[in-house]
Amino acid sequence: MKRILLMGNPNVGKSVVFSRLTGVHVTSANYPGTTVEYTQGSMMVRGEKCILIDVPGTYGLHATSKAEEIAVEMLKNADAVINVADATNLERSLHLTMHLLQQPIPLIVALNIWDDARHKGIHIDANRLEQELGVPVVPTVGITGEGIKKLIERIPDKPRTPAIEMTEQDRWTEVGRILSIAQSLEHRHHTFLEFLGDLSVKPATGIPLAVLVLTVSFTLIRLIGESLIGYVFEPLFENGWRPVLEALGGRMRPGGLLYTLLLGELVDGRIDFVQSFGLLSTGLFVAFGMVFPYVFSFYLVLSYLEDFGYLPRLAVLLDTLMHRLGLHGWAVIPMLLGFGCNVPGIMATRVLENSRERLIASTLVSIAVPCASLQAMMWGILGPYGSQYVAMVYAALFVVWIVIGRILNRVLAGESPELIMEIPPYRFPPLRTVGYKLWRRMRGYVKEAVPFVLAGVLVVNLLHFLRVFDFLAQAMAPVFTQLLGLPKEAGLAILMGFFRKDVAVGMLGALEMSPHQLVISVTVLAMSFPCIATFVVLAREIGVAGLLKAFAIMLVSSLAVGICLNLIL
Amino acid sequence: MSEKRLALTEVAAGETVRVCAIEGGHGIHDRLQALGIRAGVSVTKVSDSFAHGPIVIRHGQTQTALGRGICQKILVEAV
Repeated sequence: MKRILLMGNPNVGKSVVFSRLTGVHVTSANYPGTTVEYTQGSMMVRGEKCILIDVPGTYGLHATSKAEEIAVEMLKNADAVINVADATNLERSLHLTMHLLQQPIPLIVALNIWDDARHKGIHIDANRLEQELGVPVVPTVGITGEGIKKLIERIPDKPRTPAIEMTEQDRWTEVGRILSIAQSLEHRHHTFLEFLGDLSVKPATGIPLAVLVLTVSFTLIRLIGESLIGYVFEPLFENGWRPVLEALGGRMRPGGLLYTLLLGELVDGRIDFVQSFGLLSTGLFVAFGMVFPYVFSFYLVLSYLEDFGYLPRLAVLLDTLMHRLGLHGWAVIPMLLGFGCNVPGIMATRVLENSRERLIASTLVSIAVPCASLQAMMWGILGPYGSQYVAMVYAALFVVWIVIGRILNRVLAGESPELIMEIPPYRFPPLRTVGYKLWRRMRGYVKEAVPFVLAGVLVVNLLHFLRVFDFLAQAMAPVFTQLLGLPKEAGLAILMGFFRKDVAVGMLGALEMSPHQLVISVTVLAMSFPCIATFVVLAREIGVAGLLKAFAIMLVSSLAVGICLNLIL
Repeated sequence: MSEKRLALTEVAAGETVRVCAIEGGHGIHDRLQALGIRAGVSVTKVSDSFAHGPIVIRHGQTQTALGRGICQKILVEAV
């Protein structure tokens, strides 16, 4: 099959064009460097099925970065290249085109973000551009699909005579010459979005704005999550699902294995969705009634901020702080993603430059960044005693994040590299693209996280039934009772955290501890073992040696923090 | 007659200057060049460094954030 490459600078809407061409939607975001791993799909060109590869964004073909190395490698066996250019930033886009013209491969240019260019007063004569470049040029709007059909029709299939060898200086001169012929700029004033963009990076206005944005986002996430639980999911479980479970219970022997596994133990003579611990009662309720609404509202808000273009600006503001932790500003992306789920957070550490940064960032995410599931359970269990207790857990985790980061920065050899980062313009993202991204992420949650929740509940139930827990609790009791001041059963819950932290918090909730004991156990739980999914991803991303380091840090720090909290509270 | 050369860090926010040279090794030179930051290009400083943080510049249609250390290596002159 023919292989067609989709190439362009970072953040030119390449991934959106890819999804238009193949019908496969890939995750794209309004910040450079989203596509670190490449995606491929298939498309039809003149009745022939071809493979389309979404190559990581590159500025040139010097192989100076990992992304460019991959791109150069892929070019060696490509049958055609679709070069996605940003019409609002033609100069830099054409610089890559100059590089591609030197390859003997059939080439076509998609002049993307064509609509925005018009709004910004940038007039490009596509025909003149086509004459000057000597390859087809098609204006496109990835997000609406305009021009995509024509782009496919015009993909050339004949090899091209490569352009003559040029120096870097020649390329920029040639780009300048072409621009003077094919592009004219209308003088115009700053738009409101550009003005807002400038305000968000200037420290005096940017820091208050960041506080505002984060406060509003956090409030929105809570509000949407709580409303979904209160008005949709709880009524659904109480009025719709409870009668089904009760009917089912009537056909089984209470206290039997099957009854215990599926429905759990009755609390005050009826099924309790939080404490019964059956697969169909607590298992489903934790996954859908408590966690799903928060994961949904988190990703809704994050996806919007991402596509609006806010995150790179936050990265600029936080760069200095992140340097103290051995990272640079860009590392806020994995951190923020980690608040949704640690797995994508750790995977996003790939945007960082070296393995030292990736180790620091992944360790910090897995220890000190609570995922949405965990946070939902924190609020669920501690919230009723007052939000000051939830705040204590967040505060403890924040201190841990800073302290561990600073220690790792001191201990590990090497330095954190300096920031070089393109800042995309603010754009109001079409709701359709935000919606699709949200849908992809929620599907990921249901497919990947929900089975773990159910498996976790099942395992707890089996171990409980077989009295394995009583034995373990006895063995580990001294650590928990003496050092952490917790009942010995809390140890089990924390061990359970390996399967699923949210389930484990549910177990803590059933133990009738004081609010202070709950704060200690929830904090220790949040910091200690990562859930099994995070564990697997950690091993994959930073290697087994890295994982063992992270694991050792985890054990030592969670125990230390637990002891400290026990002394303070 | 050439004007006095300054490092980009010494320019006030809001000013537009022309890049005349980039000091430092090939790596940094190539990365900046690929972003379109090279000798002869006009750049406007959007925001200054705060607590040794990065500087944001506008050049052509793009904005780029650069670490302070990198900006010390970018020599500019008034236009």
